[in-house]
Amino acid sequence: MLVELGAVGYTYLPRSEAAAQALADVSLTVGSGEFIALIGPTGSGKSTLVQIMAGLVKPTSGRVKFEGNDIWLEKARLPERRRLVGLVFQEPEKQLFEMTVEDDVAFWPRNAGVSAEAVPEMTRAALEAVGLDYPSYRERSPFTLSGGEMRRVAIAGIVVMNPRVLILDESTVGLDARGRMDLAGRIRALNQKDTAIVMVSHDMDEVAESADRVIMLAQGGIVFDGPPREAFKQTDLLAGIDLELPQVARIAARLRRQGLLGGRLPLTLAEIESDILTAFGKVPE
Amino acid sequence: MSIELNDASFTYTLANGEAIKALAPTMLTVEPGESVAVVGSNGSGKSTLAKLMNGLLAPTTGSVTVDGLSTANAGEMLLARRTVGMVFQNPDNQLIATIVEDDVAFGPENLGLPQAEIRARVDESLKVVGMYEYRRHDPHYLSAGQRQKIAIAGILAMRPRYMIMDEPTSMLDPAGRRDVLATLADLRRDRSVAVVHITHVIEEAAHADRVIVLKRGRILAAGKPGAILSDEILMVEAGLYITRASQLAHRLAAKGVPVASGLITAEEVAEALCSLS
Repeated sequence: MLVELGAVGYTYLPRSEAAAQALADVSLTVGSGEFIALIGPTGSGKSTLVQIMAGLVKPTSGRVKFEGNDIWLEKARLPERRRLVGLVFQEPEKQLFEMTVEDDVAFWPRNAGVSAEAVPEMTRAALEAVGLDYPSYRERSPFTLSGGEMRRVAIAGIVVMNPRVLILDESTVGLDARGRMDLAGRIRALNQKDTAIVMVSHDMDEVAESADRVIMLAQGGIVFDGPPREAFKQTDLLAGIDLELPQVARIAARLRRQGLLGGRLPLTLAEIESDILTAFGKVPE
Repeated sequence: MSIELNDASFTYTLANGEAIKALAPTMLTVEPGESVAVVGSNGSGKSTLAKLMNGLLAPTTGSVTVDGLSTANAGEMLLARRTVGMVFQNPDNQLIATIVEDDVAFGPENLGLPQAEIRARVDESLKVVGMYEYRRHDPHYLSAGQRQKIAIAGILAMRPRYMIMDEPTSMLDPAGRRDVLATLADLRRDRSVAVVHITHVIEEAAHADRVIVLKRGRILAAGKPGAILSDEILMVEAGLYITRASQLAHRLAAKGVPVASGLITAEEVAEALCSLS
């Protein structure tokens, strides 16, 4: 296992009157190459959880392990582990600070002792992984870019570290639809190159089409952990935490109630199209 | 009576002297009671259009009038702004008081209305958005969706004839989004105020009387939501998308399932399919 959380809890301001428990008894693992969607309502503890997974916040109870080793017992290796489990914060573009896109993305490699000759190639690869052309963007000031481009530059600043696990906290929020779909495709491509992805998202369509595992969080605890096809059958659970079904599953749910569809719950357009064509006696391709 | 853009355009100048055309000369009329959705990708001129409509920006060329008042004239612009309320993306930029009802009363108080009238308007506006029970709360301890509804109540208390909403749900979680959209639907049904809803979420535009599509500062298309929002070629040209539900309807129609065209939401497509069986 890459990341392993054992009975993790987190309490804000412990020992004070205002103590508030954000997470309680959370156990989960992230394996190599997985694509996990972390879903849950506002205030369910998602952002705290991903910061704990990335080794940025120390849990108030429980263990966080990377490849079997407790990261908080080996503090000397924390920087290395924080590189291997990269976290892209919400609205990461607010953290851009260099004069050029290249300097911003190359910040980590230059400061981590990567040889000077290797840096431009790493920067180019990271920018291209997020869909930005290196020659046309490298000299530009991040602050003259559109919101979507700034977001990509900020993500490239994490991708450049070649993390084994890339955690994205609502990284497509606020982008327009095209930008969202394009970025979702780039993230899937990174996953296909064997980067494990943990994606915090409110966009259930995106979750249905990208993730191979869904973890549902409610009031600081995990209430579901399994494949998306099972996750979106938990209609009561989802309604209880105020999450909507993906569009495709919503259409399917209505047709199932009508007795028009049975069998698997379709998650993608291709799946529901083929199911409906069969139900209406047409031959799917 | 209407908001009228008469070949109104807007150009701004960057620090380096470069002129950026945010909106090309545009003709547009918004009637009282109407519900209009404006869609477009980032940089299409949506927010510029919104700010022209309530006089936050004066047009570079052409004119914008609100019930006959020109926004280019400083005195008339102030009067016009009372008629056109504006709700922004982030409610926190609009809330000022530490008690909900004080916040909603801020606008009417500045109009110099009698206390009894202010009280009546505050209560009524809070009831419209479903936040009356929260009138003594501190808005900062409410959810973002609730804060956005209070911002809407604050505008309603001014009794505007038109309300411009600039992506009012983009900073909200799904629960807050549904909540604010339900309030918008109530306002639409009520018809006492015209709603111009700027959004890049296609499903949110589906219920308007009329949709306007912007691309790079120009109106690319305008018409009924069904015809516009399910037109894949048009929407892609605008840098937008059609919903997954519309895509499914198109694909099924192409394979001989007789689904009507112009369906946008998952619910519409599901109903259409159920009615076929």
